[in-house]
Amino acid sequence: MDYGIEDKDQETVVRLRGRLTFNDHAKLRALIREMLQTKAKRQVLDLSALEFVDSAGIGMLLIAREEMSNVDKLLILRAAAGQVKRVLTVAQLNKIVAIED
Amino acid sequence: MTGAAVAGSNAVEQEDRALEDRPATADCHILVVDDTDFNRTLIGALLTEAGFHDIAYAKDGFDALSQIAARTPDLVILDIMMPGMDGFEVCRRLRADHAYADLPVLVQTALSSSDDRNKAFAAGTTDLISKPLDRAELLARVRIHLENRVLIRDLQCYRARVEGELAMARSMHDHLLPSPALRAALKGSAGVDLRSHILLSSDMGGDLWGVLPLDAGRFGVFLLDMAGRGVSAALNAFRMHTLIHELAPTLGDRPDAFLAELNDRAVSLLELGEHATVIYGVVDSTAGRFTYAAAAATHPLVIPPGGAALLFGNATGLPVGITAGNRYDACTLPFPPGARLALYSNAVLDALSDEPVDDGNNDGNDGDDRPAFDRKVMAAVSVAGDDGDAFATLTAALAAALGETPPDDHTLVWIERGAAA
Repeated sequence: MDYGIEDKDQETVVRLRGRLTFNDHAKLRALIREMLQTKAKRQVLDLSALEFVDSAGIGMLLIAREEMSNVDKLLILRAAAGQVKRVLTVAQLNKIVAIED
Repeated sequence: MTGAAVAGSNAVEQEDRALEDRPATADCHILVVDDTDFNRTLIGALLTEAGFHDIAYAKDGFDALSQIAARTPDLVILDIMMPGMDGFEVCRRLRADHAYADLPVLVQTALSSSDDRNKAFAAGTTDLISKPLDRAELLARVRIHLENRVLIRDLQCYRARVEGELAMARSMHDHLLPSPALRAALKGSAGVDLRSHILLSSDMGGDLWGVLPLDAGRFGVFLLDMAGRGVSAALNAFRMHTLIHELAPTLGDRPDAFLAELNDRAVSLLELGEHATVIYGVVDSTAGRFTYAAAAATHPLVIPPGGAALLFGNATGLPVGITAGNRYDACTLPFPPGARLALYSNAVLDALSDEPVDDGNNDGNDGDDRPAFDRKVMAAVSVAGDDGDAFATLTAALAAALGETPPDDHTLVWIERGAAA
């Protein structure tokens, strides 16, 4: 998985690309630290270019949500497609994380 | 400094001190091979003075080989020019024997031409020591090669221990799965055959399934897929297994309540980022149905007899272990005589739907992967025919899709009802 961060006034948009799996634990931890340092309250993960997420990846997204909420930021998952969208739907993550199309 | 240096070796205290942080080599067994009495005595004295106390001597090549066969040394110091069998030949014979492939052999040589030195290395020499012998050079090379040997041996021991412990843990994991005796009992009481196919991505995995016998010929079946992999996922799967068996006597016949309680207990047990996808259901042969509740599992699949269309259940739900108080719905699938019921982990679904499928609609339904999976299951079932072994066909397709080392743990549980009598 790689990512690119775009820091806007209203929100920080992080575009994730590739596959988010068990092996990306350290990388996602680093990303969370970067997100914590930005100013915007709304932290958006743009998932449109993410091809695959496994169960450990879902766990990392939930860690990100918790870390953001600890500092009064809001994590938003945006534009998931394909397998990623299916996994988010099956896991009913919309019950606990903000999900946008 | 504890004064624990080997008795009689205090002449080289300074060097001992420098050695304290390095692997202990003083107890290593060294074989000195030289046809000249004077050289053997000299090398032995230098080694003894440096603290080595387990030294043996051989006076020619034949003597060396027979002593090595009787007791393998940690290091051989070998002369090249010897009557009978020379050092090159000793080296070649040692390297030809797998048991001595990594035995360090230091060759003492007055040979100065690079051809001769290359010949020594070609014969399998580990390193060279120049003649006439220099005390500092001899001890430095002896220590380097002995330290390497000790470190490699430590690593090999450590690796063997870890492999042994993983094998034991793996066998404990295997023992959590339904035993042949339990499967035979269910065949008798519920009239079903239980089969399973598990492929782990490493020595240990976070997938687990099992059955909970209930009354009146019913039984509960669960499939759990712990997030993550390896040892940490397996440890959490063990904890979940304990919870499941604690809940079985009171909630085993009510899948929705069972899952809600399992979730509440898992929330207090698991760390943030750890969760499980679970499906738990009750197979009721008398009523001909499968009643289940699911937490982000894959759709349970019923293959009706007679080539009728596959029936997929709905298995959405928040994974277990994330938020307390979550509720799960009970759903029902028909499970008539002659039908087969398949439960499988997400990785199985992904593996069997690997062709890019674009159904062109982005309606938010979770059907994106299903057409490909559906086709493969249908194909497996129709290849096998109604009486054939669709389970075997399906697991063969899975093995073909995954190769030797799957990227994630895979479990397929297959429950087959006998045809009506």
